[in-house]
Amino acid sequence: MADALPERSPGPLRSAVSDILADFRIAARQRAFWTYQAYQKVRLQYARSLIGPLWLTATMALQLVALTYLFSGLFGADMSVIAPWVTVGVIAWTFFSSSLNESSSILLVNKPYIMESETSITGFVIRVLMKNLIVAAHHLVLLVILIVWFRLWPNAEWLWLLASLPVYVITTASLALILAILTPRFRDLGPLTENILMVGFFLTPVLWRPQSLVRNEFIATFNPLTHLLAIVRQPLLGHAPQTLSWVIALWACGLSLLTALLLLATLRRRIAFWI
Amino acid sequence: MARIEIESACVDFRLYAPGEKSLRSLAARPVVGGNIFRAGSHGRGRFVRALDHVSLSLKDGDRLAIVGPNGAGKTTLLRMMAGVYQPTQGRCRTEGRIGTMFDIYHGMEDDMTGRDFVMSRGLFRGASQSLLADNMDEIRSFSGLGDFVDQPLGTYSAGMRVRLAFAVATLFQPDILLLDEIFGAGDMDFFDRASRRIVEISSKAGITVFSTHWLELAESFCNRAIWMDRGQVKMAGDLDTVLDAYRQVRTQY
Repeated sequence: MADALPERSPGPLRSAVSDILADFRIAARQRAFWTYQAYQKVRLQYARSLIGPLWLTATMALQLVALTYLFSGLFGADMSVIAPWVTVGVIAWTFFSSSLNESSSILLVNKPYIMESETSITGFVIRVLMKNLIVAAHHLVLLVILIVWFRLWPNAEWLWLLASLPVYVITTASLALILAILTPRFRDLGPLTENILMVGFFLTPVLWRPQSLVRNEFIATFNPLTHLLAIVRQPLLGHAPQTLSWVIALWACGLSLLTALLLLATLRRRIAFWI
Repeated sequence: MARIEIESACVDFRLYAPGEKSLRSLAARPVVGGNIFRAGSHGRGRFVRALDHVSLSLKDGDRLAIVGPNGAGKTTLLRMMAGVYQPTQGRCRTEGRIGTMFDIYHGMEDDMTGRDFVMSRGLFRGASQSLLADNMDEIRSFSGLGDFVDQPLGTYSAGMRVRLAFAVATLFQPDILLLDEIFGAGDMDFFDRASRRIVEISSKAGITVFSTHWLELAESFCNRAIWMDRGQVKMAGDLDTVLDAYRQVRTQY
């Protein structure tokens, strides 16, 4: 009869798969909570403000106008080329870097939740991703305006997005999960992530275009983030992504997903001891 | 049916903080209050054994009080039962839906309204939005907040926060109820109502485990007790026997 009780002992380790599924199951059971929290985080940040979350759109609009003028001047390129390039780049990068930065502290910030029941690590990461998708949606309004303004009507290449957006989001989610799991144990990862993302912003063609490099082209070519960004950006600008970009982006996605799941399976039950 | 089976469970914490070496001398001798137990060794690194071969078996109808000085392992034991800590050695198995009241105030932010807090805490516990909406009136009346439920928490008094947190925490009827020193601020009138509510939920739950320094409160609704000291169960048995023995030596702590 005692065997009917769920095991919670080190004994023979339950298989990694069942541990991962347990984490997913708890996340699924609390799905209404993660959605609610994601919305609430955005809403509370602008509590009592007159235009509320529209500040997200306004702030981004201001930045994009300034950056477009600057980079159009720097590279002597046409506004109709630079504006969409910068816009897609900054929106996609903001989603990526905010997700990673927030994930590295998400478990430490939510310590009381973790200390009251068996919680889902994946759930917290999904919450971070959802919040940043909501923010991105506020930014995407600007892209729509741009498309109408410069008459960048969708063409067949946009279909690539059906594959590239999931790859982009899954890679971000996997890296976020890795950071969420490891940062409570290795506290230096928080500031380290912040620094790498800051440097990464300059070394990745977010604002500038790879063809503008007059030397040290490897900065763009050997940077996996270049390719991850390219598979999302190229279709939106009406081009098919290069095969090289696809290969590298898919490798990055697969590797980070595998690492994240391995860490989740092996370390999930240790996290409460670290925070 | 609710059950908790703990067999010779240990929970060890690794010490990561710099200067952990100095803890060793501290751990070697008994400390007043028993904050740090002793460093076990698992190869490399230093550990603190927060639970030391604890065995415990609880079934329906058991209402257990955990008593002991600060640092005795009461909270660690509760968290292990809740599924937060996996035992380093031994096992801990539970059967039944677990409800915890450990830190009922967390999740409160000044800018959110009382209603936001109810939703956020309720959804985390797995309640549906509609269930919470249906219970909003009860929460308003139990907490005595009335229309304040739509005001930001920043405008609440400390007592109002307690009432709200308590109303939300007691919204659910678990099979296993785990309580950790829940009473803080709040006026005496509310305390009476709050403790009645706890007793009510506890009587419907299969198992209640209650850690407290407030022995009179434990006496009012528990029927078993364990006395923890430095991670070990020093004494276990029926409520009166254990509490009497504990009272004898408590002055020494």
